[in-house]
Amino acid sequence: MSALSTIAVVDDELGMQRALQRLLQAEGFAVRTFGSADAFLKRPPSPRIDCVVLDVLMPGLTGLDLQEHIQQSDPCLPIVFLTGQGDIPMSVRAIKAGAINFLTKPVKDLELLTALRAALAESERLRLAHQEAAALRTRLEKLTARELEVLRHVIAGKLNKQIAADLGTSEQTIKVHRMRITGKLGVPSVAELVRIAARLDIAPVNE
Amino acid sequence: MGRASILIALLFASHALGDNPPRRILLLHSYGRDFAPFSRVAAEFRNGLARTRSQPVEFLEASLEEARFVGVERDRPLVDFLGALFRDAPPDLIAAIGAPAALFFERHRGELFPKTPVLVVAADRRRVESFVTRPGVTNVGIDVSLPRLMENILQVLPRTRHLYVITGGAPLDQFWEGELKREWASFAHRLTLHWLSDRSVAEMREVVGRLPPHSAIFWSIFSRDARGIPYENETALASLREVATAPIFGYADYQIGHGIVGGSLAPLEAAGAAAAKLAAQLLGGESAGGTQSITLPMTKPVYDSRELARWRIPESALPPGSTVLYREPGLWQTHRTAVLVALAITAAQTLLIVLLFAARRRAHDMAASLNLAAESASTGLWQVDAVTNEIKASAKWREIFDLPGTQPLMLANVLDRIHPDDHARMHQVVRRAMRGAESDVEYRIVLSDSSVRWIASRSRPELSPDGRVLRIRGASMDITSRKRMEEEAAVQRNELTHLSRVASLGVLSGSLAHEINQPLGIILSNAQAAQRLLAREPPDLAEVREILSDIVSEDRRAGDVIKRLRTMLKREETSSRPVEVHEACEEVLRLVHSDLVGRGVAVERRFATGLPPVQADRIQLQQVLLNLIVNACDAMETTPSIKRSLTLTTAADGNGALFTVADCGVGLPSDRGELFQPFHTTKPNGLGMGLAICRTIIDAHRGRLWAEANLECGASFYVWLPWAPESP
Repeated sequence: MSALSTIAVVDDELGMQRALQRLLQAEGFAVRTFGSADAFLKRPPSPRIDCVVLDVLMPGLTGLDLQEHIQQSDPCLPIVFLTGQGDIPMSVRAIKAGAINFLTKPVKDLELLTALRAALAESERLRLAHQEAAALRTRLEKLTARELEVLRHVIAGKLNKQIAADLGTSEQTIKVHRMRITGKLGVPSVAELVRIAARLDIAPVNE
Repeated sequence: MGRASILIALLFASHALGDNPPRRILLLHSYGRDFAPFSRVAAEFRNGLARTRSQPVEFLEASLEEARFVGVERDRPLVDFLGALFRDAPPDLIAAIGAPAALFFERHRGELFPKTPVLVVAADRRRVESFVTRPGVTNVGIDVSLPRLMENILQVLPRTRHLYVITGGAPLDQFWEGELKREWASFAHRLTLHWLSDRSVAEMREVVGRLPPHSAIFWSIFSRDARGIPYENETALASLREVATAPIFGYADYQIGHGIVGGSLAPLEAAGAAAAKLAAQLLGGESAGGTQSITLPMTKPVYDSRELARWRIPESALPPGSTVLYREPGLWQTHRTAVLVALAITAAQTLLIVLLFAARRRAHDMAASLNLAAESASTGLWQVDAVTNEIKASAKWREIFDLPGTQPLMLANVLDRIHPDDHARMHQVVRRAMRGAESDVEYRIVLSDSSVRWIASRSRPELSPDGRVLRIRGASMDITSRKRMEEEAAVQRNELTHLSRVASLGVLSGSLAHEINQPLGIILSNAQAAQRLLAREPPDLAEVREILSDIVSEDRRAGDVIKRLRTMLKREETSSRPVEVHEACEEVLRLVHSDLVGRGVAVERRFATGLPPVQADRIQLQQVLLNLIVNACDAMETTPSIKRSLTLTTAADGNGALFTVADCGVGLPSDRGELFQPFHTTKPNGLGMGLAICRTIIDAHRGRLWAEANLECGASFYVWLPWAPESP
């Protein structure tokens, strides 16, 4: 979580926008305010937003409607809901749809900041995981079809001899393939190979 | 000549045969020489000119016969014919009566006497705009305000819900039908318009003979019915009037006296007269042109007293400055002598009665028998001597006033008994009675054991022949038990009203919590931001100052919500005062704001400007509006959210304000009457008391509450309340 995370405040009340902006700015966040869900959706792409503090009840698109939009366009963007009435069915719906937190107005500063930081940390984690997966995928794409096939045998726990028999080739050839695979993916151990394969949804061959 | 019939008439003013040759006027009719409405215009024009011109005038009249012949090529033969008639010398003036005639000359101005001045008479400017701005063309236009014609109806019959519009099938009829449809669209929320142009006159007679209550008929231009039969001179109007079950309203001045109620009308006859004056000027040598063109406004409101009487419309409903025509000559005018004789006889009789009464005043038997009758009706009789202030009273009266004994009483003894709160008022009543006024009052007296009794008294002065008050006679009744019951009923009604108010606010409690939490949340976040800003080195005082001012205004807002709630929750005596219509509406809308947002209901305000205050108990009026708004929202629970809108309308209606709460919900039950019955409910948790109590409240305000289904979707609830009396 960087010190300059940008928080979007979406609330139909100007007074609330201003109050939250002051509080969050005093805590060192950059803040952008929006008077409606629609204004948020039409925002310019830059600067990037790291977390949304969202009022539930607004004229036009409600907070829950906006949540659906965000789920589709930017699933990593965390949302902290604020509501004037602790409407339980509504909270359940929001949390089921992935809201990290659902706070009731009036909200205490620590409560809000804790929720925000947790949300930012969670989204940071998600983002890193996405990045790692993306990097691995580029490396995986360097494997030839034959090497990929060998990999699926390796992670199934087969010995070189068995793989050679299965693929109708020599044990020596399999050894060369394995060397190229570990070289391209940059991982030495079989355990690591299994982990990466799992992350990238590569299934082991089954007998 | 084709089928177009041509009429040529010569008319000379009575002293017409002077030395000068007569000036020739070509008068072109749109429909026919005897075809209303233009026949009236032409008649006024001819008569007016005959009156103003000292020189002879010759009229040559032709007609387009537009109402009779459709789809006939008549322009060419008529152009040729007129050209032939005036081959030697063009006419001195052309008068085109009505828009069709004007448009004919516009088409053929080049061939037909381009140098002759043209007067366009009684055409609506909308139809002849391009022609009347040409050089040599003068317009005597009429201003036909269609909204005004509608207001004629709503002014005298504000409760009209159905308007049957009689129009015909001729092009002019259809043109006006189109205009009416367009300009009256904005009245659709108040009444339903029924267009009868596709019926024959016989069919129309059937329709207007069986109209629902709160109907009215509007007679538009009607020259030819749906079967193509032309009707001259409002013959159809007379035929409909015979069978009509609702009042007929017209559009033009000449219809008054032919069966229409009246109002502010299109000045057709007036246009004929005005055109005559202009024609006299033009013939006198002044050049025609746009500068002389005039447009006559709608007439001052004018009514037919026979129609007012037939439809029981009181003259008090007419707008100020109205003229009422065709009054039945009053009793005085017709029976002057008889009235005088009757008055003399009455006077003699009165004198006789006074004398007899005086003679028998001391006849105790009569007094006793009177007393007996009064006794059984628990009425006490009394009389006060105007000079000595001495009171003589029956035993029953002494019992009621708790003044036993037989010794004489003085007026002051009685006045001492009067409740302090009624003192001033009663002193005034007594003073007036002593000057000869009759009185009829209700007041309280305090008995010696300090219990309070309500009394109703009526009195009448007895005058000497020279008009001095001799004594005042009266009767008094103890009405305490009736008053008690009335008070108890009022208390109970108030209690019920209050309970229902508490209940409706209970329904809103969730969103009211939101209304309060919102400012509290803003205050808290601001305050905590301020703490941080003050801890900085150096502290950001400018920002803190802004924060504090935000805090103050949010605090006030939270306070206002609580204050409004407290007023609504308080149990208060009803107090009827002038209430600002829009202030009251806005307060209610603020109270339900969060609820509306939460239910996804959009609010539209259609407030009329400049409404005077209504006479009402502010809290109870708001309670009714609140109830209607919450009901409207409930009715829209299943409406798709995009259509979920509520319209709050205010408008002046007669001598009061009309509030309308319209929704797009499930509509009304088939039995309207049920709606306002206690325990009628469509809601799973409803008690069914809301609307019943609303109606009780509005009835107690001498207003009206009713509901109607909307044309497109949902229902509208109407509240009508009288204006507050103007403060001196």
